[in-house]
Amino acid sequence: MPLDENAYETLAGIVGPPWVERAACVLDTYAYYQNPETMNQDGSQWLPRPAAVVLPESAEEIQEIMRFCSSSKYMAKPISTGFHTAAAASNDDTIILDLKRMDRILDIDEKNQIAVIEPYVRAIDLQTELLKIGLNCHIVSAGAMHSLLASHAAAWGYGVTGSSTSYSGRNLLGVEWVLPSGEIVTLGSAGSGSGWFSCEGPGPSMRGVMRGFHGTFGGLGVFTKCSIKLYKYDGPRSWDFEGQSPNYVLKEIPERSKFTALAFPTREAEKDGGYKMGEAELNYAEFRTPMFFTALGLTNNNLELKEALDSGLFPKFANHVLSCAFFAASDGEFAWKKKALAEILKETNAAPVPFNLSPSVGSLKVAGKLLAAVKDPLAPIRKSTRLQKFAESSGFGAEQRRATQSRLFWLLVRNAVNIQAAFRPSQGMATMMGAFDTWDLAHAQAEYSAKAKQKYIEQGLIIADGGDLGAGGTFENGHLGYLEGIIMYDPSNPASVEAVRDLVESGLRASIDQALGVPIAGFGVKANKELGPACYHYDRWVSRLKAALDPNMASDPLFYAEPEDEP
Amino acid sequence: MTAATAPPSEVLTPGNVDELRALVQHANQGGESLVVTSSGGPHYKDGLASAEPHRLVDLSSWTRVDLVDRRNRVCRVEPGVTYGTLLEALAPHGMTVPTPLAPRSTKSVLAAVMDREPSTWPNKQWDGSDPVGSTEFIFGSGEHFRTGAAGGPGSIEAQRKAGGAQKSSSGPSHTDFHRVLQGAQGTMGIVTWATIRAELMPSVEDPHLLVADSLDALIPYVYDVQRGLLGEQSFMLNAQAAAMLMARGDQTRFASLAGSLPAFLCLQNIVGFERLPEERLAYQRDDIEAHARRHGLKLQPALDPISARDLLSRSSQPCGDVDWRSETQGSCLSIFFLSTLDRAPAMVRLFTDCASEHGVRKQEVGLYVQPVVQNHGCHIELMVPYGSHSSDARTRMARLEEDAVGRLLDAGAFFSRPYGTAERIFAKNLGNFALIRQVKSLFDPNRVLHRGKWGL
Amino acid sequence: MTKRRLESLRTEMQKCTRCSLCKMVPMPTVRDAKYANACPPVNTNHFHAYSGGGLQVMALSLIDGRIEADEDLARVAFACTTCGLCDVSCKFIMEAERQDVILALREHVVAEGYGPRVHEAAIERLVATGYAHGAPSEDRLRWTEGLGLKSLPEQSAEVLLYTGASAYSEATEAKKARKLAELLVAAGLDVGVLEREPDTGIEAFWTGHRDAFESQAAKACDLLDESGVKTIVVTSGSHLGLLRAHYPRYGRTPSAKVVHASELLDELIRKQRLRLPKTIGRRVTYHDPCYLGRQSEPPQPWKGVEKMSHGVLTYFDPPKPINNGVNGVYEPPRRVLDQIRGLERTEMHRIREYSFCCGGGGGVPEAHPEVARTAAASRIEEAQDVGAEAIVTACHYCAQNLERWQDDARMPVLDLIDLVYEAAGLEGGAL
Repeated sequence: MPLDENAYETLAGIVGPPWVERAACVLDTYAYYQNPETMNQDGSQWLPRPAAVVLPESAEEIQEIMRFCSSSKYMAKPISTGFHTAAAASNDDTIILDLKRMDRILDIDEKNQIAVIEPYVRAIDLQTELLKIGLNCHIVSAGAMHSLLASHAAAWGYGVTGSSTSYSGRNLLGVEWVLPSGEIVTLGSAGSGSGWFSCEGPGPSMRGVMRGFHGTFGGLGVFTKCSIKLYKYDGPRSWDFEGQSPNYVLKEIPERSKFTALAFPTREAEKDGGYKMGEAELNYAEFRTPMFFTALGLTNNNLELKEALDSGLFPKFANHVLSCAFFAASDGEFAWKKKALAEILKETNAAPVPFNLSPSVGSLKVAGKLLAAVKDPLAPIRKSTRLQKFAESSGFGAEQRRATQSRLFWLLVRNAVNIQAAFRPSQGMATMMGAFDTWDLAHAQAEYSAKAKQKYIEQGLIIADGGDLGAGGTFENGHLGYLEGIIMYDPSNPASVEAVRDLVESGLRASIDQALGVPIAGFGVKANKELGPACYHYDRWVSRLKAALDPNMASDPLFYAEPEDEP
Repeated sequence: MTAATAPPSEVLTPGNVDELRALVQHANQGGESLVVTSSGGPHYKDGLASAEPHRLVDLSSWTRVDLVDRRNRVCRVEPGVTYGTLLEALAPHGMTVPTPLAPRSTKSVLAAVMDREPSTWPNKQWDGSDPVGSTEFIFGSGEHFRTGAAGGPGSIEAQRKAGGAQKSSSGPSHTDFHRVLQGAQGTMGIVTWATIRAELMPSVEDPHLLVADSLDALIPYVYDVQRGLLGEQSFMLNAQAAAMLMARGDQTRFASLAGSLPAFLCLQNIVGFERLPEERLAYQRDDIEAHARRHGLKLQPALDPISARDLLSRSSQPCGDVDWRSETQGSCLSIFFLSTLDRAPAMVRLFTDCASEHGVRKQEVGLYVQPVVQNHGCHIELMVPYGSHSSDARTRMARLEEDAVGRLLDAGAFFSRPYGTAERIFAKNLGNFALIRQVKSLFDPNRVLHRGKWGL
Repeated sequence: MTKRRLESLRTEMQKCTRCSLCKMVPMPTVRDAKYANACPPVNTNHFHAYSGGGLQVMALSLIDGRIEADEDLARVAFACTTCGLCDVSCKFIMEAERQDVILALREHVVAEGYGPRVHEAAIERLVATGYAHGAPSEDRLRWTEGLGLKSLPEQSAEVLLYTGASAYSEATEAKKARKLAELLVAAGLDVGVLEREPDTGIEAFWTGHRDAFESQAAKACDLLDESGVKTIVVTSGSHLGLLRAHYPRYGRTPSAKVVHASELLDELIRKQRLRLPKTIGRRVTYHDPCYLGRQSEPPQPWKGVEKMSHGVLTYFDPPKPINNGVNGVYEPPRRVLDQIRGLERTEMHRIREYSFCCGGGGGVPEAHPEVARTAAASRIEEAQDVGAEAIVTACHYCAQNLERWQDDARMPVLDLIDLVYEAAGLEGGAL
């Protein structure tokens, strides 16, 4: 429903008239998100049109808005960059709080490696400043244009540098929280006037109710400030690039840097490799790029992609690829890491994909024919460290190698080419599984996804990507791991959309039946009802929290919880 | 240092989770209060003290260590498992765990980690809740829950069959209830087991000491090394604290050490693990040495009269039945809080100034500074040993504690683990405390768990 | 008709994933977080609707029947300068035509009668007189006196110097045209001007008045073709983009090759037909005009089919050529400036295909002066940030907008032609 006049006057009185919009055309730009047709039963691309969009500038303005929502029929839904359907309103009485005007980096404490930020500080904004001083932040796979506060305080947290920068939900050091009632609470040391370095305490940590593996997605008030953990970064602090969109290339590959794609011969070897590299604390970044992603990353358009896939080469060597980056602070460290990696490659019979042979699609076709009878085109490289060294440092193919390493730099360091690239093949991308525990469990999930997708691949309803499009990697030096099963579908084809719905649903059921962990899509009212009973009724607990902290339903509950009807 | 308390009317020792749940449910029906312990005594902090009538639930006999998993570097412990038991269980698997500084022999691992007690191995602590993985607990209401990956779906066995290891602490879904339990000192739930993140056992170790006349002189070095995640176990002690730790209760040795040790020292362990251990150790030592040199410091394997290896060994093992802090004189005032390392010297000076007003000389104050969470913060602990038999001393220490905590609070010390008079600590963040109350009313609606603690 | 055109672009709109990359430069090019944002209306107004992605969604909403054209839609749609940055940024990660949708949306809004009123007077004049600034005066060619330029089409020449009729209405443009003419003549070129230059119709183009633009473009092309020249050199970057890139999309392409002054000057300098003996000791930065840069790529005809493979992998066979802004005119102006002795040139952060729009195009200074002002201010600040003492540009809309909002003239705005004229040692000079 359009905002009533009283409500408009109230909101305009809080933020100023220029910052309240109720024009239908504007509101619809907050009713459309990434691939929502799998969520909508009618396959529509539209989500509910909110009652209004408001752009507040401060926690105090948000406080007043929440108080208003608490005493009216309206609900609030905060969003930052809004790059996911979870940013949507659940109904037309929801007021979207677009936090774009709150975009300040408040402090970078270089010594203690802490940044304090507002909601619309994007990862690219902060990271650009941090890399200059040898620090970095954890950036999720949505890409560096995402809101850091959203990922750390309110959403998920997987990113390609998880091996060295952990998971967003584990990097939160402090948060300023406007509760649904309008009260402003700051958790942890910041709330006690001690600085922004710890979110736990005093006593029991309320961080434990403001997010978990999943955040509350705007369903329990608004986070207006947070502090996040920063990590050391030994990569290049500045760089020159050349070239033009979309192929920007580093002029030089920085010293003491290694960008590589490691092709393991089997899943077991890939699993072992992940654990071994983790224990050796090698990787700065790591991203599993199974064959479809490898082909996607090496091609510039979908015809090239098709031809690359048709060559038949990629499944032969790229089913189990980990794209990695590692850096070192000293020559000694770098030498050790290289030696350790060489050992691990030998132990797992893995080989670095030779970037200097990054061929054109034309030559891929030829190579595909020539190597049709060859099971493993990388076999010679697996056996010979000399060939590996040649591939890594020879003048032959040096430009191709630099170009491919540059792509890995943009992916693994700058997060400039992440998830968005996955929309190129068919404009539709969905995910299933993706629970967070061990690297072995991650692969079990990827195996399930691959099997489940097969029937729809055979029916031609989703992209024949080899089945296993498990994307992810290890976290915290191999202590943890995850893989989410990517599905590429056609959003304009109802049968394709239905296939995705079925797959996500089956993934949820398999998570329950086969103990595969709480999936990445395991949040929100609907999913909580299904998963909760299998997980000690966490759904009831979040409903109770919702009832306690948001008795007047001031926050849009859809992607969190509704209050439980207690007997 | 405690207010008036009542002893428990009874000590209960349930044998398993079902019995424990039954106890809790019974307590709910009968309006009783339960206080839970898992460590053996003597207890040094007042965590168990309760002014309300209560029964004590003692889980110290739950001593199972299982699900030891080398591949995923994790294990599971019940409440009564001590550090000695755990280290012994992990050693054959080539693993170890970060430990607090010389925990007493009867200290429960679970109690320590649920209290967010700092370990001496900061670069293995990625998050404030580490090394806790998943947990199982009973709410004050008697409901049963598991946190982290153990939260489901599926049984432990089914999860393991699928490849899981109950390692992740996050979840299930929107919840991170383990964080609510940590630091709650038994007011929110009763933990019946926890998985603990383990680390590889070093194959080779080369610990060193760095010494300085001031804490300020050590801090820049610590920042550099910790930022690079170099080295392993590391912490700082002043001469008094080092003497307290190394004297092992021998008064003569204590006096000698306190008189001869340098004013401040830093332990720096450097290791190699399973892969290319000697070479790892070599490059790490080179890099750490370079940092030391840059700050005018030197890595020394030994000082006269202690060696780094001795200090490492002493700090990484249980210290004995009596806490090392109290070994010297029988009791010890211990004030600890979190801050950032750069503010440590000022906090220490504030305390020593306050202490001198209470007749405590600077040399009597023991100092332990421990980087935590990969040095994103640090634990600062100020200790004054005293004779527990002297009521004058007890009174003086109580007054010092009252005064010093107030001043430290005003100066920004973060008492994240409140002991003693906690009211003023919680008063620094009333909004947060209001949330705690609300959560308590959900987790323990009948106030069964440690009724009255912190006014809850 | 306009709605049908929008409907034909449905697939493009639906490709939007609401990632917000359209609000910023392609991420690999971010050097300084302060200059990562590059969408003028979003920088000013913040609501998502103002972005390239927002405009896609509003267009989709319209063809889905969820909204109608109205004043609100016009308000948002015409805050866009049509600079095309969103098109370039989006194409960094996917193949989607953002600019086509934006232009079609604006045309539809105008066709429905909701175009901004402030644009109407210029369009009425264009339709009535053939000139958005009104019929030219009798002495419109005064700036050519004494230069010995050929009068086209009566006479014939190699090169047509075409100001897009800007020299008729603006004294600075007339002066600039004269300087260019002198340079070309000095280089030995056979130069002519049209006895009566046609208006390019740019005001109609970028304010969504499609019919008026198509009609004017046809008339302009007739006159340009009548001139019989092989080469047309334009003085303003905006005209280069219009003639080279957008005229062909709207049905007509001049027969002659169209170049910008910087391209021709670059060629003449390299062939040593023009020398630049004078030193100009100044530290400058070059502002890439949108329509000289990313908006100057001619459409690439494509004949092919869309196919599917591997299930639902869609591809174009042959691949559709994508105009992602990289083949705009970037090097010639830079080479020209680098040939000027003593001139030190420093690059800003947002350059080339990801240059930041000055705010001067799209009818924005008239309809949304606040957007124009804040864009100009941002650009000037950026120039200061890189240590420049002056901004050099090659488009009169850029020059006007960058100058207009400076109360204190703290950053002089120079035209490339003026600088070259000065460096060539011809009388007068830019400084």
